[in-house]
Amino acid sequence: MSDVTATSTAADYLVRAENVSRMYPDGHVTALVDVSLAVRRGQYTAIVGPSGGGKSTLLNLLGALDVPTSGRVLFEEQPLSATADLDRLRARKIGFVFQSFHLLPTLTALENVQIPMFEGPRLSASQRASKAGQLLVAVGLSHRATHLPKQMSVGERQRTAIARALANDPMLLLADEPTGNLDSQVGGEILDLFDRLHRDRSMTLIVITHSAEIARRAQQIITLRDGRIVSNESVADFLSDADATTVE
Amino acid sequence: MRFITIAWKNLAGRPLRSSLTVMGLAIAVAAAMVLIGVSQGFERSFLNLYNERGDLVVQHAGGVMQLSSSIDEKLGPRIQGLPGVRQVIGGLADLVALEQFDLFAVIVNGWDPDCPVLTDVTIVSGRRLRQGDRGRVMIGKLLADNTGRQVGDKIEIYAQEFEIIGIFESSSIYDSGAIFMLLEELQRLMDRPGQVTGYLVRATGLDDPRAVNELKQRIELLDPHISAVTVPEFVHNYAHIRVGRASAWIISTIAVTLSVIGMLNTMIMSVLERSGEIGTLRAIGWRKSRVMWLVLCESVLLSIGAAIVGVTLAILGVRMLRYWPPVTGFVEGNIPMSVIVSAFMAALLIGILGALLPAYRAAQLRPVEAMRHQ
Ligand SMILES: Nc1ncnc2c1ncn2[C@@H]1O[C@H](COP(=O)(O)OP(=O)(O)O)[C@@H](O)[C@H]1O
Ligand SMILES: [Mg+2]
Repeated sequence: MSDVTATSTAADYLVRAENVSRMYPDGHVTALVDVSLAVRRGQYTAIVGPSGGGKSTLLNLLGALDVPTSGRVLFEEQPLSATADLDRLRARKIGFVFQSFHLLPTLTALENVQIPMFEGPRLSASQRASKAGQLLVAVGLSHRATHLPKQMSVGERQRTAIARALANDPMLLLADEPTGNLDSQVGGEILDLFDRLHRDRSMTLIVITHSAEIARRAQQIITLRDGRIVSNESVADFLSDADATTVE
Repeated sequence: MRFITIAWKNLAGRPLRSSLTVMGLAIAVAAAMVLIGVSQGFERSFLNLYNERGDLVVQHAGGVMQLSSSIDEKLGPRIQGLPGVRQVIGGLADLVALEQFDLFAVIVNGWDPDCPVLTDVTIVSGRRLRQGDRGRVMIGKLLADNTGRQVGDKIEIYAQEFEIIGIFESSSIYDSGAIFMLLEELQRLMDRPGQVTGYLVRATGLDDPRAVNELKQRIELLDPHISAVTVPEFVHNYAHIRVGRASAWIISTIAVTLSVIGMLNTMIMSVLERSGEIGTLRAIGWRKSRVMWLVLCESVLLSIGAAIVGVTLAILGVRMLRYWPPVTGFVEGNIPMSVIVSAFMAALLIGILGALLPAYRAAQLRPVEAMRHQ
């Protein structure tokens, strides 16, 4: 078991980027330049680096929300450019968590969590509701099920958004500065939640962060600056958190 | 949660905009319904009135305004002599204003004392007109109610005082709002001695179109200046009815067009305002078609709301119109079911048409950009 990291085969990769560049034509900005990386199944990856470095751009490409100007992204070793239905891929295999939550303001927590289920495996209205209820329990929010986003604290909103991201049992969870709008204590609780998802559900996590604390929990830390990867540190599974490299 | 719940909550979450949109569309729907309903009701009650009394209408050939048509009253007995003709009713009609009561289009009919119209109406109080009743009139129950006049009161018509000697009831709303006087007197007042507006001819054996045409030709042979048409033809082509019908449709078309534009505006605004939310839906995997359905559902929900409110407004509106003096006697108190069904269909159509472009716009939103600009 201990040599898995050393002899990873292609089948172990959930998502890969090969020489990916992304230019935004409107601003003549090259947000990513020739970026290559690989994320193994069940791996916890942190993307760090200064603002404007291209982190969100990279995450959007990995999440099939955007297409690269050159290079390619592979999901389960399938190039995204050859994948017919990217909506379906996003709906069923990827969960997204955003810095500013992006919940629907007119729906309750329980209803927000059900939104992705309309694109997931066929469920009845009551099955959707009970599954959403279980997810809210999993994120510790069962007592807030009938609350609207504006009636919840920011931490509770982000938990709701995480429950929503898990609605269709994705294999990959992408989070763009998930604690960026939270104070450190609430942010820490969200990070604990990510840890549990990683540990208990073997979820593959890619998390953009400014926080050294998240980075410390990750197994792979990618630093982006001016659209280029300036460092990619892998922390072996058997190393304890305390021994992991701290960035920034 | 059902899909429709999301659409519903989006609308309920913006109560002011949703209710304003519903009200705007409802008023357009109601206005169109009242106009079309009134014009159809007008036509139908006109048809009933004439159908009760005859099969053919004889009037001056080429006349556009039937009220000003004039035919010699000596023609009546000659039509009566034709084979199959059972009854000929000749009368003179005019429209007068009763300004003191704010009534601007009251029908005045002149009949012979033995005319079936006079003898068939039910007297509610007073008595029927008879030979030699100069300066006297009978008035319909609705007109009596609207003017508060009773038997024995005076009423001023053509700048002359007339005594009301009877109040009558009739199944026709036109008669109920009308004034009846003797033919001779109305001929004198209108300065049309020996003339009638037209004849209503009741005949037997008109079961097939050939027999109808034959009788028409026989009547027209009596005098080169007259024409005979069936009652439905007459009513359909009656100038006032045609103008009424045309204006009702034109105004309704304008109202519907404005509503489509209004709905378009509301839905475009709501899509643009929610581009971040829509971008999120797309980001977490909603297909374009599902986003389009959401916009369409919202618009159709608004339309259904507007149809319900609009139909209610229209029904109340028409009931109230019946008691509005200027149109008293011309408006029936009911909107036909067919008009209500059409109103629902029109509202749905407005909802769908008004949502097509916004739905398309919503589906075209690129998730990353939409969320970035929120
Ligand atoms: N949609 C876009 N259009 C134009 N420029 C963009 C767009 N998105 C990002 N950029 C630019 O690309 C660069 C990288 O942005 P981003 O990936 O958001 O960085 P980060 O998430 O690390 O802060 C920045 O200079 C940013 O202004
Ligand atoms: Mg960013």
